[in-house]
Amino acid sequence: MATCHTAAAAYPTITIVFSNVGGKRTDGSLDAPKLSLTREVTGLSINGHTMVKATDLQSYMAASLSKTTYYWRFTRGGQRTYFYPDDTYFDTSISYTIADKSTTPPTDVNYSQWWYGYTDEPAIVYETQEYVRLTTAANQLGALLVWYNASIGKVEVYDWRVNGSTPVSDSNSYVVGGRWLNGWDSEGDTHLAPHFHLDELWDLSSTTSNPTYARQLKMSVNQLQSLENVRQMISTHAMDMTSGFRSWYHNVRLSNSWDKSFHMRGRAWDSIGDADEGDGPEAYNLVYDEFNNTYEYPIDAGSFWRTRVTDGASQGYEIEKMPQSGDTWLHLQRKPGVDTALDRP
Amino acid sequence: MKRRRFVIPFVLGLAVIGLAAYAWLGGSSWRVARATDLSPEDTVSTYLSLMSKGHLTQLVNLVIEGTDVGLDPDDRASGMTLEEAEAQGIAKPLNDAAAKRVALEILARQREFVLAEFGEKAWAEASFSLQSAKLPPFRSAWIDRATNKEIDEETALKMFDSFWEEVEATEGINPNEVIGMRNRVPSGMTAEQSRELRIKAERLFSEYEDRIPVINEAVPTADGYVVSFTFGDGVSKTGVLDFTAVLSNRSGDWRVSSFQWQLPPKPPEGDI
Repeated sequence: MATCHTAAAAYPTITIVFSNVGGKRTDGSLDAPKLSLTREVTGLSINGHTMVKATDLQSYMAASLSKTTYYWRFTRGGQRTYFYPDDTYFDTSISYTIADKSTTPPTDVNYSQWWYGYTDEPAIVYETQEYVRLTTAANQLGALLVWYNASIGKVEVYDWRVNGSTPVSDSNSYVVGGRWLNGWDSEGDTHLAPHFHLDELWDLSSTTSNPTYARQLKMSVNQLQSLENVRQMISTHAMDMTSGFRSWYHNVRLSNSWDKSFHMRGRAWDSIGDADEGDGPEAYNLVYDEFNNTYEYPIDAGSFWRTRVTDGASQGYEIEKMPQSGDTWLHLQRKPGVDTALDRP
Repeated sequence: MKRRRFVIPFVLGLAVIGLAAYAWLGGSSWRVARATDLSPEDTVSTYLSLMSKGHLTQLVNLVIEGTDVGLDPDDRASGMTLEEAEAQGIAKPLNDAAAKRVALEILARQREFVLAEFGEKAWAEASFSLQSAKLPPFRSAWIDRATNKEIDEETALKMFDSFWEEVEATEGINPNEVIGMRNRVPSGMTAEQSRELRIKAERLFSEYEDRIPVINEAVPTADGYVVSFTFGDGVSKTGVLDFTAVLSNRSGDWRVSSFQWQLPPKPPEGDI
């Protein structure tokens, strides 16, 4: 606790800017999004590592904090991340249930994902305030990107829930991970759902230029359930994924990709159905027909078709309109668990 | 929530300019005439007045909080991931002189940006409203859920530990203690058994979490407001909207910071 672990040295400070994801910069730079709805806080620089106050993560990234004698527990989007005072060790976990629709009746499968890692700087108390290493903490809480802006000498944390003084609420649970976790690259065969592995959903880019965010993952549990649902709808019960989560670096370099894509929010995936059968449109057509209900078309929502049913087998809410450039795939997203206008442009 | 609305009084504007000029011309230190005595409203009026006149150095010295001037209309960015910057040893703030120079450059661009959007009298005829807000710095407070009142840490920790001891009496394990073991494998256990124990502790923690009698909240240590500005008739040339800043007395004086705005909403385009 604050009275038990006190750092003796005086540390220099550094400004941390919490920002929503404002899309592409107007100067053409692809390395970081435009700043939006920001708040600045003061962090510490310890041995060249930026440390952030636990209360600032709590206030601006909408993480709940539970401090005990032994650990500081951040909870956000169902994922729990623990830091331990005076220790570089940290760990993270999430428990959830996915209904396996391939059995009759469907079977609930419980998942308890648990990973750990080590930061380069221990969690400390400094002048009665708890500090944790910013990169590890913000990334594991689900931020899109943590960036150093050399032109202003400030650190920028980009996260969809940052909204000035009042964070965006979001009732989704998300499975979050990345290379800041120990042995992450070898976790690819971990089941996230009965028929889907981690390496089908983490950032799939082979050209992502940034090592920190290659294989970054943030995927809502609802989206995982819809994967299982759609797989069961397809005649061969096989789905090939073409896009799960996308890091900022990946998404911004894709031609024709929206700079606020739902793939970067962990609330969309793309599939071409069963690639071996060469029937990419099947998955799309099945969900499209479900969305129609008894009408000629689903609800027209701009770039999306929105469902007319509340109890569809896919449990999907919107699909991207197809075909595009002669190709058809299924881009599906669930009804957002976000309740502010920020979620919709 | 407090909400008030003001228009810059002309006389106040003159007084503020005079104060700033005194500080600028007469004192070796600008703190000779610091804005300690200004009210929140007068501080914002001073901000607008100095912006209107283009007296940006005085603005930085007297009214702005540190170098947090807010968004740069030119949106300039040059950098790398923090991981990379830390690995290269360059994740550092600018020195004071450079930070002040950059702040002044951004202020100048902000000034021109607003003038271009709303016309040459935009700053001079701006109005604003204040709304209470929780702003940093924060301290961590323990709240007794039963009374919704803050309690001291020692009492809170006793309540916290007692709660989990009661859970242990029912469930056979104390999740608080198991999680506190970090990654240590208890003697007599395999790594796999230890992992299973931890997962069980996590499940129990989540199951009982809503019943924990105390919670931590981040409580601001200073007063603060969000300032909402209206320029001209409120309609900008390019559709930018929601001009805001924050106002805090965390440094002792009331200071303005973080001037920003929203770009007009755009529908999704391309691969969404």
